Amino acid sequence: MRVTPNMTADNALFNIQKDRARIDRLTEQISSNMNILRPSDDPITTRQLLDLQNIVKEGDQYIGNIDKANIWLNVTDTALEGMSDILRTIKGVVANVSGGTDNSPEGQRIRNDAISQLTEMRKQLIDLGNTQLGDQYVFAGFKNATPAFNTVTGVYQGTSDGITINIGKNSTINMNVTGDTVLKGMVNGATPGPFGDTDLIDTVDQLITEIGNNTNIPLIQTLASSLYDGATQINNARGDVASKLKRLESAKNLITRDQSTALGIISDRQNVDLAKAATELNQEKTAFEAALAATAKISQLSLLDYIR
Amino acid sequence: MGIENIFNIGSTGLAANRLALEVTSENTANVNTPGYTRQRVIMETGPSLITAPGSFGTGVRAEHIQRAYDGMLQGQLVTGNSTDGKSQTVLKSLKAVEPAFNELATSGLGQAISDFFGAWQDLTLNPAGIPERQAVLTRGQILVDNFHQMNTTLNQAISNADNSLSGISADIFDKAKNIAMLNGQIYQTSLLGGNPNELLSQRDYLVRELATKVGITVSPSIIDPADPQPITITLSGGETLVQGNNYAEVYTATTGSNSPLNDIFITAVGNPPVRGADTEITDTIGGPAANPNSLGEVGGALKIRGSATYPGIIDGYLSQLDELAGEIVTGVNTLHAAGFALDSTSGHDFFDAAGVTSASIALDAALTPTLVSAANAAAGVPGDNRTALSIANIVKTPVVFSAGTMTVDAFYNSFVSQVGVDVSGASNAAGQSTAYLKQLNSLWESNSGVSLDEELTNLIKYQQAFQGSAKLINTATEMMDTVLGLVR
Repeated sequence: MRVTPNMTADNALFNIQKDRARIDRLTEQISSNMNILRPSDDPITTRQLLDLQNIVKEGDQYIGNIDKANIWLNVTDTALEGMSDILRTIKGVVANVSGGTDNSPEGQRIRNDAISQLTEMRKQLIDLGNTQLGDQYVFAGFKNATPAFNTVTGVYQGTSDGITINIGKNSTINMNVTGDTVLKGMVNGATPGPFGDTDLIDTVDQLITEIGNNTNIPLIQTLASSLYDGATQINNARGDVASKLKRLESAKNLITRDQSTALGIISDRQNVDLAKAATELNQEKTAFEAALAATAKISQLSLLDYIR
Repeated sequence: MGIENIFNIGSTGLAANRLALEVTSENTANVNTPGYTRQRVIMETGPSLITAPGSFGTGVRAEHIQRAYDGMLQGQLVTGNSTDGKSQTVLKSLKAVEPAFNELATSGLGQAISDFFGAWQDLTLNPAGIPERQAVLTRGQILVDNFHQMNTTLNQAISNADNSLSGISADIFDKAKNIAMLNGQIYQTSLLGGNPNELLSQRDYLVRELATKVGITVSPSIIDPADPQPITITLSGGETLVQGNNYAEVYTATTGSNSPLNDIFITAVGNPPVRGADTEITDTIGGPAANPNSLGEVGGALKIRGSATYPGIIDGYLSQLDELAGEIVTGVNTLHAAGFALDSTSGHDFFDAAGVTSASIALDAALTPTLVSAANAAAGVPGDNRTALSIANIVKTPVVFSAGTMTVDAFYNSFVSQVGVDVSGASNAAGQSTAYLKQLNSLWESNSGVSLDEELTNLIKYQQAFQGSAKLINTATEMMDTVLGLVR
């Protein structure tokens, strides 16, 4: 085949271009630390990477949800703990007067003392029932922009709905405990609640009345024993909250594990093996230099130099 | 036989080698002229005379000047140029579109979709919260903006391809005119017994250039050097572009079947051609019916832009984008309108119900943070998050798309992957056609290209032959002097 200098020049240019393109790509990969820089580099792996990135992004969202639910449940638990403490105090106060007291001025004073303490305790119980996180009343169900309990009558004003949130791709959780199940022992105004059926506020109300009357001692004793049921009810609610917190924790662990698996695959596919890339770059550089040197040498050759 | 015969032979040698030197200098001068075909002088011995010792020649004669031409190669180059023209055009356009889909390096529509539904997730935790509601609106607006931006990018690619049609058509017209002119000159020259070698080379070159723009058929496909005929060029649809020294005008107008986009028209041949009842060739100019829009830059531009008959690549992307926008709008709106706002009203659209395409998608004009409907019941239950939860879950609920049932995320990801497949396919095709064309060009260069070394060798060769012939005359003169000296 006849070879002209133009052919040599064209070939050299074509191959130098190809070498340059390879070096350019390697440099781009190394400087961005990404194997796949655009979908056309590897469409199938791109799809996998995007799906994996979605797993990570979704996971971040669920972890955000879990963190917020965690705060919510911790606030709930603190309130329930407060209720438990108050109940213990109430039990102590009632124990002092449950045997009945005489109508002496001393007895009268003890009773009045107990009544005023109980009234205060009732108020605190309702205040705890109206615990807020931000603008939301945590015990009020769906109707959480307004107080869960009427501060005067103690009537439950919220709903019995569970607030469901996503804590995983296919798992949800009711992050709230409604106030009616805790302090009223019922749901939807009638059905006995899941933690017990003691209407604590009503019990305290009756105690205040009966201690004031000081006539029906057996009733006071019955009511006092109701307080024990109420304490169990609140403990049950705390148990529920604790198990929810436990579930959030394990859901978070699961998501973190999924995420780290996904991130592992992403970095396996996407992160450049720098040692390998640098070696390749060196090889390409050597090849490129050789191509340049050869081209420079050959391009200069001409018969003209030898004709005098 | 006589001494004067040496003079004659010497002078033929001088003439022939002088001509050969002229051709060599022409070759050398045109070493870098695109399309120039090297030429050489074909020499033969002069007619022989019957002499006493036997038949003997009368020197050398330059028979003709031959150009190095390979008709087969020319035909392959025409096809190769057409394929490459198309591949490069498609690749260039797709490369311009690809960055819009590059979720690997930047956050685009995919991120916006995730963020939008993520904002609904956040709202489930505080359904009455105004900041959360505002975030839903903001994320919704960003989603809308992303759809608009993608739509603009894709439409920009379509309009770029569409605009390029005018330029390509003008170029085709220009080249057709020049080829027709060369046809005429070649005919005239050969009629007068002249040598149209350089005109033929120019015409070959123009034909190859024309083939880059549009798929053509040239007849006769191989030129007989002894009788160079004018060539006829027809387009893929069978329309005549060049015939003798007549040519047709190819032009674009927005009055055709793809209005308001450009359509391509061709006039009847003439010199000059006159616009009149012209044929619309948008559907045929890009290539044969079996493989539409496969040849030339015009085919590439049409493959990207599409026409009513053959939808373009970008049209496909747009319809997928529209489908995605439509599913999100109807999916969100259906749930949102059934939900209840913070003020206990119901029936609010989240997105403008009329905007179900990527171009027209918009938030509902009346939407305010208060009217974002997170609740599933009417009566003053601001903590009700059930509608917000349902909307947040749209993103992981499979939806029926034309390509199959899948989630919004999966649909978008496979869309991105499809764009990647298209670009890498176009890139491979362009790489192959370039390599093929390079090979053909090498062959052409090998056959027809000027080699300086060769010309320099020829220069010395012919120079020495010239000097030899001169020496002959010199010798003959001396001989003549000697003979004349005898007489004295």
